[in-house]
Amino acid sequence: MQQSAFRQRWLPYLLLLPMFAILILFIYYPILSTFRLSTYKAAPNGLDLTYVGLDNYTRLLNPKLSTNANGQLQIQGDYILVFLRSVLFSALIVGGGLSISLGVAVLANQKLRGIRIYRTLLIWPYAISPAIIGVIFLFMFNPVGVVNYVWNGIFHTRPNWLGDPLLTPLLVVIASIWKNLGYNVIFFLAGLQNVGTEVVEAAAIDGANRWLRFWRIVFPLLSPFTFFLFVTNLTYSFFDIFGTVDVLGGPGNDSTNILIYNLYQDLQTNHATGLAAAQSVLLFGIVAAITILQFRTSERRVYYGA
Amino acid sequence: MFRNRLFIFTMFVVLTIAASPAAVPAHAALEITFWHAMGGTNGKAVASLVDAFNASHPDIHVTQQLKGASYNEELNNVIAAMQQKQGPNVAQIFDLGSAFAKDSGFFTPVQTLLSADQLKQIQGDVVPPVLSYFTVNGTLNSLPWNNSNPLLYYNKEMFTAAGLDPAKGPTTWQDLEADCAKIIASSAAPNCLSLQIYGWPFEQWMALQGQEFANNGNGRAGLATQTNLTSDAAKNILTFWKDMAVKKYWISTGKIEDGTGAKQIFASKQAAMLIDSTGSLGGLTQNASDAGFTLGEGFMPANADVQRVGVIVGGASLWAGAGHSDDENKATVTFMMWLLAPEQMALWHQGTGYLPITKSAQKLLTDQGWFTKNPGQKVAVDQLNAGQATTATAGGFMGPFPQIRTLVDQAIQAVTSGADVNATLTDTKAKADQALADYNSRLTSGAAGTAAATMSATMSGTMSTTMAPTAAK
Repeated sequence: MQQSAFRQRWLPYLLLLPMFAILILFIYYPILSTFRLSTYKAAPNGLDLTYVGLDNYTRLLNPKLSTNANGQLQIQGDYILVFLRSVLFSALIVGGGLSISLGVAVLANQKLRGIRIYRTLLIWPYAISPAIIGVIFLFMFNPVGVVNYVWNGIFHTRPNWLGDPLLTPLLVVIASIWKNLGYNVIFFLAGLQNVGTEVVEAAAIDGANRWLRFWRIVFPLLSPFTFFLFVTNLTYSFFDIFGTVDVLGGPGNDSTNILIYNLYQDLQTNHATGLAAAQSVLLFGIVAAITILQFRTSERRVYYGA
Repeated sequence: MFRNRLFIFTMFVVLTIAASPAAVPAHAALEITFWHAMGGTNGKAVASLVDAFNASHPDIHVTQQLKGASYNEELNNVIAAMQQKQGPNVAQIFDLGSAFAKDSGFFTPVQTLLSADQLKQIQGDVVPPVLSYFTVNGTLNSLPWNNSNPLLYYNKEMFTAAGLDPAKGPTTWQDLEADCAKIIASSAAPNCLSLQIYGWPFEQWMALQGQEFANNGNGRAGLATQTNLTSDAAKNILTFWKDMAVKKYWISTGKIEDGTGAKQIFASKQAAMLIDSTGSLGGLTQNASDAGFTLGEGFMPANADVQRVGVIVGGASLWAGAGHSDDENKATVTFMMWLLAPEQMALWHQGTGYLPITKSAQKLLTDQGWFTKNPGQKVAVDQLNAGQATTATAGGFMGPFPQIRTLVDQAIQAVTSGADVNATLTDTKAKADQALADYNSRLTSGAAGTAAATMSATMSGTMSTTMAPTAAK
């Protein structure tokens, strides 16, 4: 029988109690409350709840016509679009972000003079909050701002960066990738430096070229880091880019409206508490599903043996 | 003996007990709380007013708190506190939130707290267009306080360069387009009118044409159920805006509700004119002097084809929290009446740029020679006094107004990107009416919220906020 580190049997539970108290009070109880609240329709002041069952969910997910209490037709179709848009943003931010970060990390892993300075400069943007990143891009891409000044000099056109339904989401994606670059690069650097030179040298002796050496040796050995970064970037792209979306897109901009932003609007501007709770539950389910799917499919391919 | 640990400890306890009466405040003033959204320069003005009140009223102590970076954030903080029955005595609620505040049950209509004399005084002193905004069905729900008007700002040097009279700005759309043609043709400025994509000027132009925004007396005689977004007035506005866009007389950053961006374009001499609030006058005067041009102010230009009625006031008003004791309510009224007194209203105007909304304050400022030194402010006050108080200029009173304004933002963006005016307005009206229907259906009359329901509402707010870490990273 394994020897326990604790002499008294009740001590570990006692030590865990404060953490569990906080988790239950601030995480688990609100989650359960939100599940419950999503089955109600709330008055605009947040009180006066009326039970409506799954009505909030059908309103969100059913892109068809429905009738309200007055027998008037209502059309709800926007949520599906918002969902698809969020998935697209995430795919771009995670896929694009990790690819670019890996490339940058490989470049930053060389033994050059001043490489430490370059590394610091590359990692720096991570310290800025997403909202400030949004403000920086807002100033740069103002129609009469610096980017258009240069762009106009080369291409003789001034794109409507902040108003075009394709350009503004592109800006949000680029800003989000840039912000998280530092975070990803740190981890990839650590992973690259974790790969022993002997393994790579052995592959070189066996005749593998640089391409093969990277993709068949180094990249699989990086897989724990890649997997970890995938999950954290996924959460980032669904939740943390809220600040960037708010600054670059704002409340009226449908082209940058993602799930978390739509939820925020319904809660804090439209005062539709029950509907916002339903969106909260759906968002929770979506991200949980993607994460579980990722664990199921990819964890088998993660090689922890390095 | 003096080194004895017990002795030192006992002396410590004795001295603490002896000192404690000094820690208790000498006066037993009635505490009332005032929550607002005034930051920056305006926040300093609030602080100095509140300090002056506390100094002159020893039996009342007002604690003022900045409760949010924006009006909307502050409103949500007020709601959360009210749900826990821990709301403030006085809350500043923005204009579009007025219908929501009235329907929420969180506030006592100010009229019920005022004595007959105080009410008469207010109704006689406050300028009619301002009073009409915050009066619904004959009841004054809240006390008007920091209110503004839209204003046309222009660059006098650019006007002179284009051969226009720098002493006055265009007062009609038609004059505006003509002036823009001259400005662009003479290259006096790279662009003519800087105006953000925002529903607010749209609403102003509805009122200027005498068109109510919603039915049922603009939402004031009864709950609004329909908007008038397909009216002729609305079509006129979007046709004009689209025309300005097509002719490239109008410039914006492209981002919706980007007031800062619009001001930047004007302040950096990229446009000859700007439409913005009177509240921006102080800041723009500073910008103009920094950038080296003279700022001109004029009335908001309106449709010359329709008789000019008046603009709608914006800003916010002070609401009295419900569920407080009679003594606290009396103190609240004392504070509110004091803020509206001519001396305080004049100081408030001078410190912030918000309009002096009482006749007595305007008289005081005139006597001080303030308007001679500040002709820009005179233009703003003249426009305020020139407006007729009708249901149209009283402004729309709708619970989901913020949401509806966003829908109008999108309509403007669509139309200026080439969409058809009639089709866009029909679509926007459908969505706006649906927002009204949804809001109205959720209003219950007198259904009591249970304690568990209140807890859930707050917890769900926590849940959503936990799931959305904002700027903290």
